Amino acid sequence: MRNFWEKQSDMQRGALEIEARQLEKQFGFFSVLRGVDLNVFKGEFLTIFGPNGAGKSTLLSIFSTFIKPSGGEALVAGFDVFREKQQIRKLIGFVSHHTMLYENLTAWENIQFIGAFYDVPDLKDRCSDILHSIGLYSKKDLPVSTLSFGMRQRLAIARTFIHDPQILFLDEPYSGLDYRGASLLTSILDLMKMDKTIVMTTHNIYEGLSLCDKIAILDQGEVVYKSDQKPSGNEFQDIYLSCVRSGDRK
Amino acid sequence: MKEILLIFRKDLLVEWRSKQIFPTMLIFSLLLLLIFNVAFEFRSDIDFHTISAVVWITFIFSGLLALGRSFSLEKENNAFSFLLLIPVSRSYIYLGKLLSNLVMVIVSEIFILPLFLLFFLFDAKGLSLMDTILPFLGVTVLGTIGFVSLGTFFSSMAVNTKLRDMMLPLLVFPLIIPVIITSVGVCSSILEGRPLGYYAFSLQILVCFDIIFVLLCSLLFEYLIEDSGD
Repeated sequence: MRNFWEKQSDMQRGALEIEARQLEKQFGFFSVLRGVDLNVFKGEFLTIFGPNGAGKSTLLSIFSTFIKPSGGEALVAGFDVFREKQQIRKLIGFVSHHTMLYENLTAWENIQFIGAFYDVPDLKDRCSDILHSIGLYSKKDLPVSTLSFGMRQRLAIARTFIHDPQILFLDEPYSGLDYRGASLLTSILDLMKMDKTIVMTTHNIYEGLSLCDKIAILDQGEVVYKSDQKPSGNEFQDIYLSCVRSGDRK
Repeated sequence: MKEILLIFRKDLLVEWRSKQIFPTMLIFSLLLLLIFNVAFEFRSDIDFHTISAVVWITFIFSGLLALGRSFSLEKENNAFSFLLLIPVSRSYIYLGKLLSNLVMVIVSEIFILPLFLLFFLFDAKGLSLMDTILPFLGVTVLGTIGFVSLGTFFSSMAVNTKLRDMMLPLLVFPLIIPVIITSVGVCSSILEGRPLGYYAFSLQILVCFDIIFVLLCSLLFEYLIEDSGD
């Protein structure tokens, strides 16, 4: 497995890759994001924690160009998420707790279908490598509907890497994964973070802290804590409990 | 173009594996034709205009089943969201879906037509392949393009509503009235054995509707599926 991931090109850290300035999002009268400011530099791994409904998925959806912000500015690799969506889409990969797979297609077909859009060179070899790397090559001809949830999630992650995106957005990727699946995901991300910029939202404190370079805590649509230093598990618990007020007010 | 064909191929493959839409359309059409036939008391003196209307009602109703499922299948597991992440024009996604829907609906219509001939025109005289069946099929294809182009467009809208199955006919029917009226009129003229010159203008109108609907829907599709930001 390591061989495949280690083949990925090296990348210099330093330049600002993901930026949110006073980012706002409203659904009707309901404000989901309120003046979010975030910076992620090239090669950094940011983990965003926060309670349910804090706006984490909405934030990633904006960065991934799924939804438009209502106010403020969001830039990915220098491109505006509102005006330069196509340029951003070429550079990013997105993993969600929804597998976003076609149930009636096989594992191979799901990966190949997406790879074909990105003109991935030697697509068959790439699909083969990527399925080997997640231990699903032997299941390549099985319809996705026959795979376990853990296998589907691994497949969804593998599919995201088919075009070797330089930026990854991971929305609760550990959700529903068993111990083996979670370990595999952690080892993949551990290797990916060497040369990719990654933003992940998670409730999994252990995995989230072990992988990240910096953290942010989102609560009620606001960044209530951010740090370039990653705290220990115990410190984080204190920080989290002191910052997160969800449920305290209406 | 490659992107359109990729989506088209994927949709047909999904349908081939799931076999959800096509058999349902055929059985539904068969039942509908049977009901109409019983309602008309198996008479053989029904005028051609009524017969044309019956066949188009059958096409539209069974076609709606396919169109309704078109985006529902994409919604399962949020697969459509991943499709939206791909850096391709939204028009290509629409055209790919349109093409696959078109093939499914037209193939089902090809299966329905013999049943229609059997139920309503089994003792009709003067029906020939070149003068009646093929022109009838041609008009069917033209009318279907207009209907499916609008249906595919509104299916993507209806799938995000709670009343998705009820919403699609409500959105599509008012707008396809001109296509249905024209198609029924031309089909009726063909069955009556009228010369091409008699219905040529209607055919031109049908082609114009098709072009307008396909162009407009492919251009507006991006605005329909992208978030408004409000």
